[in-house]
Amino acid sequence: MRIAVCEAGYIQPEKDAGSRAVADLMSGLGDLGHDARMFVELDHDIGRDLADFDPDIIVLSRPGLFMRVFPQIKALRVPVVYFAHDLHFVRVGLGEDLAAAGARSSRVMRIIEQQCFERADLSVVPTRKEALRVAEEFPSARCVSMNYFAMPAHDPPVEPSAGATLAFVGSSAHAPNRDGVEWFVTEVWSGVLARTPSAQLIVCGAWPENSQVRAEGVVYLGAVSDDELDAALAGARIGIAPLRFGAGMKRKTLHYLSLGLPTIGTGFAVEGLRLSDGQTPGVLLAETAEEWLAAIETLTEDEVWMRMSAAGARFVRNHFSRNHYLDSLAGVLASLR
Amino acid sequence: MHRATRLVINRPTVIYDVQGAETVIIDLATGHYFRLDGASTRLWERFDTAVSPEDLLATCTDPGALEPVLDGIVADLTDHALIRAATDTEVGDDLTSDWAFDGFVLEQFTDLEDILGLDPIHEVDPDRGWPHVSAP
Repeated sequence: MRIAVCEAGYIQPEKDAGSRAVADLMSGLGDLGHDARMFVELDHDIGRDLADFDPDIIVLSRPGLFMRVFPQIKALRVPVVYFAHDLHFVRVGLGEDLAAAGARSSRVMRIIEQQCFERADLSVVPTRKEALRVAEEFPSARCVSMNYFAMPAHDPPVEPSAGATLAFVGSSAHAPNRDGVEWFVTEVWSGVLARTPSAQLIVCGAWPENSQVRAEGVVYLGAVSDDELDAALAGARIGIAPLRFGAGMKRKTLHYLSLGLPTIGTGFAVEGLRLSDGQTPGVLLAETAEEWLAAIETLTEDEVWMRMSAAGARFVRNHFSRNHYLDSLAGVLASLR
Repeated sequence: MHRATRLVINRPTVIYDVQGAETVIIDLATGHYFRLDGASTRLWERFDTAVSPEDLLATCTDPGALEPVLDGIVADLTDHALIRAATDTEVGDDLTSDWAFDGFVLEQFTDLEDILGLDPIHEVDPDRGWPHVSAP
């Protein structure tokens, strides 16, 4: 099939998880034998380009793009898939509760996303929980969940990482990241240093200086390549995801686990990543500062570290491999028929 | 803007939603959104179908209150690209129903432009705005 995947701007897979999801989608469609082509709204007459391509399916990524492009393509009478990334109105609403977003933002996002979900022939969200929420909020919408990410396979560590380096992956452009790092550095970090003065927190991703929360031992690496990022994480002891709000599947959590890096995160960090017993192998859950400090302490024990490292890497291999991703994607396409 | 020019909500780029006494207008091109109170909504809804400032004055129950501020309101809405000149196909019947003008306040919010704007992927230069991307 000819499948058009539309984005608002040029994707930057090394900089944000949303771009990574679209890159994985493009390569996955190619691996399944489809003629997948990317269309970027930023510098083209996307409506005309799509008509010229004569696609069998059009995938519209993100709500703003969907709302702008859908009126231009509905006359083509081609099945339209809304690639939602997450439920923005949920994420923004939770941010409002923490005063990280404007008071009407979630209402605005809900107005827009309702139209996206109801107009699309099929919507795709990263987690089952979100698909159920869509069914509840917008009963006429047709929505399914699929793995958004295909995680590469890595050799697990043969011994625990030395030292006391914690790592965070994500850019400050994403509000939950900004809030999470600020909260962690402000509320938890001094406790970490009190126990381990040599501890270091490396923050990987684009963080302009005016968004950085400075403290002793906190280092901002900036945007780095995939190889540089993996090298930085390989030297870390713990991956952290102190997200106090959010929606959707968190690639950072999968990334840590795929490298065999034991992880500490909030409930938001493991959305869509829990097994039927509620656990996410390789992850310790922590919400309060006390719980974070206790979890960090737990992972100072080498035996625990090795056990969690192996469990997390195995979990990603068993559920988020490229083969699993392709099966999930093929299932979505089949459900359009 | 000539007062006889018929104006209409800038669809499909602009959508709006009325809930109770509050209206939210969303500009999908910029990601900016706007709030109107109940009184302001009465004027805004006039633009649902093509209407000229002249028509607005003619049907207003208190034209004396509207007259001195009308051009400013229309300019504000036009400058924000929330309304535009109607096309030939959008010009419908003449507006006949009366309406009461009780003030107009347009509040603008920009906190969602990174989610909804034309290019949510790149960081936009804060001084120059879209489409200028921040220097690395």
